[in-house]
Amino acid sequence: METPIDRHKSVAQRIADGTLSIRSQKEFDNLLKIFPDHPVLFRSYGDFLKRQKDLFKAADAYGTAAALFIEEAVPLQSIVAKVLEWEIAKPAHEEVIAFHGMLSRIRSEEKPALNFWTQLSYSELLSFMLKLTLVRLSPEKRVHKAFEEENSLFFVVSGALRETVYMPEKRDRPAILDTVDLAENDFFGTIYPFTETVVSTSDIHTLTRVELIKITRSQLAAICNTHPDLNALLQELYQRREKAGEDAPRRTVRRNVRHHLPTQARIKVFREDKGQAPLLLEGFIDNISLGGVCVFLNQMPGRPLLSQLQGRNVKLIMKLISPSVDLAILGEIVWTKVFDVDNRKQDALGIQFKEMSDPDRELLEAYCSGGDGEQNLMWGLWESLVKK
Amino acid sequence: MANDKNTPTVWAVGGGKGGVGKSVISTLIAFWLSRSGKSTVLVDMDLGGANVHTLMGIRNPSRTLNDFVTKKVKSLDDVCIASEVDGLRLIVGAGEILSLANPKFAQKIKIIRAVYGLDADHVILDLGAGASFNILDFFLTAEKQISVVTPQPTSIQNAYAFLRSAVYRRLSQLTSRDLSLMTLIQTAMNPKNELQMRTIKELCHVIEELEGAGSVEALKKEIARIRPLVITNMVRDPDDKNAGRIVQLVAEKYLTIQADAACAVSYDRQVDRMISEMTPLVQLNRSSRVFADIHDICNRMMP
Repeated sequence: METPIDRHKSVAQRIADGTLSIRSQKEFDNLLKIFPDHPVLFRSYGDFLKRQKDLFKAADAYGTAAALFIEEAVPLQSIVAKVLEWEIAKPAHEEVIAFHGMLSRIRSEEKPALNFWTQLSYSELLSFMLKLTLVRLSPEKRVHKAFEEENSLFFVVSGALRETVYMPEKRDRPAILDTVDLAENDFFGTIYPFTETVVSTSDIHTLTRVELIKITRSQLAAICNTHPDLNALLQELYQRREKAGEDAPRRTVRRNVRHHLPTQARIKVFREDKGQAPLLLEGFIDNISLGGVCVFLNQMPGRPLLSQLQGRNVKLIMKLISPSVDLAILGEIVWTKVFDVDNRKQDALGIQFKEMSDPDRELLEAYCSGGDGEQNLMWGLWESLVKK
Repeated sequence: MANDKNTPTVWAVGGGKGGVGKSVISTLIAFWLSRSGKSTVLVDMDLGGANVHTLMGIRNPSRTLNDFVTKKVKSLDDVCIASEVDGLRLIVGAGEILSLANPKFAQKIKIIRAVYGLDADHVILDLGAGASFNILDFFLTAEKQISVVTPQPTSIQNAYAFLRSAVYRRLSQLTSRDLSLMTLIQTAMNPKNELQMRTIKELCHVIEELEGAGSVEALKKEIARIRPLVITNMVRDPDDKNAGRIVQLVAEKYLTIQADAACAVSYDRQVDRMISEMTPLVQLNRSSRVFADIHDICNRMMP
């Protein structure tokens, strides 16, 4: 069965990667009514309230987000939400103990970092939470430069990054060995064991808007001095990453990069009452990813209010290169919004794809950006010819 | 005077991504041509979001392309609006007319024919963003094809995707009456196809094996006619110019087309300011580096 976060992933992704920004209380009210269990939305709501200086409500929103993240078994995001909550309202000792209890009950073998956070003792967790720095970066920012010393450990809270690994022996004229995409709950920065100084052969830069938590070598060493048991957890963290690397030499993560490729689209909105003909809408796709699309709707008399479209199942028909290559994908309208474009109101809706056959996925991928060979050549050239 | 009464030289400026400066480059090329004594018509073909008239300082155009398509006027010349530059006229896109955002086949043919019938030396088509088949068709009919890219990864991806779509669109058109060839081309459009056709060269090889050398030679000849100039816009430092070169190299390897990527347009804050202030771009300071770049582009396109 799909969990709520699965069903509404596109909203979460869009909020997290910065392509959907919600700027008013009213918009939040609407979205929270529709997605009452959405941790990313609550986290974003907390950030909004904090910017509005409504600190107590912000703390509440962060607290709710932390609890929902725990339900989704994602400890890192929960810890970050808790840190933000406790920055505003200092917690009681019992509260921290309760939070640690909830974290340690999460069971996840999926990623080394998930396991790491759930195994921390109460005092280790507290030490970490006091030292973590939250880093927010926009797309195309370099986080780490190749052939420089590694001094910090980073965990990815949200967003996507790319690690470009260079051949270590060609330091003067860097040659790319591999590229690895990093996503939520991945980590990077080899600073353990503390006695070894590691010069990284990787460049790491952000692909989308990214949130990271960072802890420096000296901070981590200090925590380990106070909590020697942490050494074993760190060892396991790095060993498991190495093993994962051996098992899958080229890690790939699902990353929905949005392509700004305006494309004509027709949308069949299915009615709730069976037997009724679907409603037909037309518009232009503003941007596409493999997860969904944002469509700007054409004006049309008799069209229902945007709010009435939310949550409806649709068939999206995209006109690709020729009329014979229409692509039809089933999806759900997961958000609606009125944008201000050139001083004109423009209705838009977000469709999350529900199911897609492999050939359709490949066709969409090809339409967006071509095949692997083209992509690899393009990025190889980008690294060597343009990137600063 | 026009070079040939019925056949102006048609330029198409496309490139996939929105916001890369297609309209600015189209406007400045049109301006340069008219200043060189060539009668020029700039046509805003961004039928879903026309904005070139704003760059020309025209707020409320009296006529648009829609007046021609809906037969309010007989000829495309009738919807041309004079600009403040001698010899430069403008056809305003019909952004508000949603039916035109996707003209039907007959409308498209009518527009293409009328463009070639304009009384001008040069016609510049400023295409909209994206790679819909209508945009590709306008691009493919032009004698001088320009694709605009900026030094950003997404722009490079989109510019390449645009050229890739253009090549496959051309192939689809050429083979529309041959079901087996058409099927092969549609298969090749999927980069993970089972026939291992990853490049146009490989596609041609498969076609040659299945259909014989005659079929493939005709297709190769048509592909060779796609020779776009890839202009890197908003260049801030020398390495930025390589964005166009990336598109050129990948297109050469995978699409076997010979693009030219020698031209670039420098970034100039004055251009941004003029757009924000709705100052006509033709008033751009003549000492701007952008002007010199446009001069190079036009000279390269008209040897």
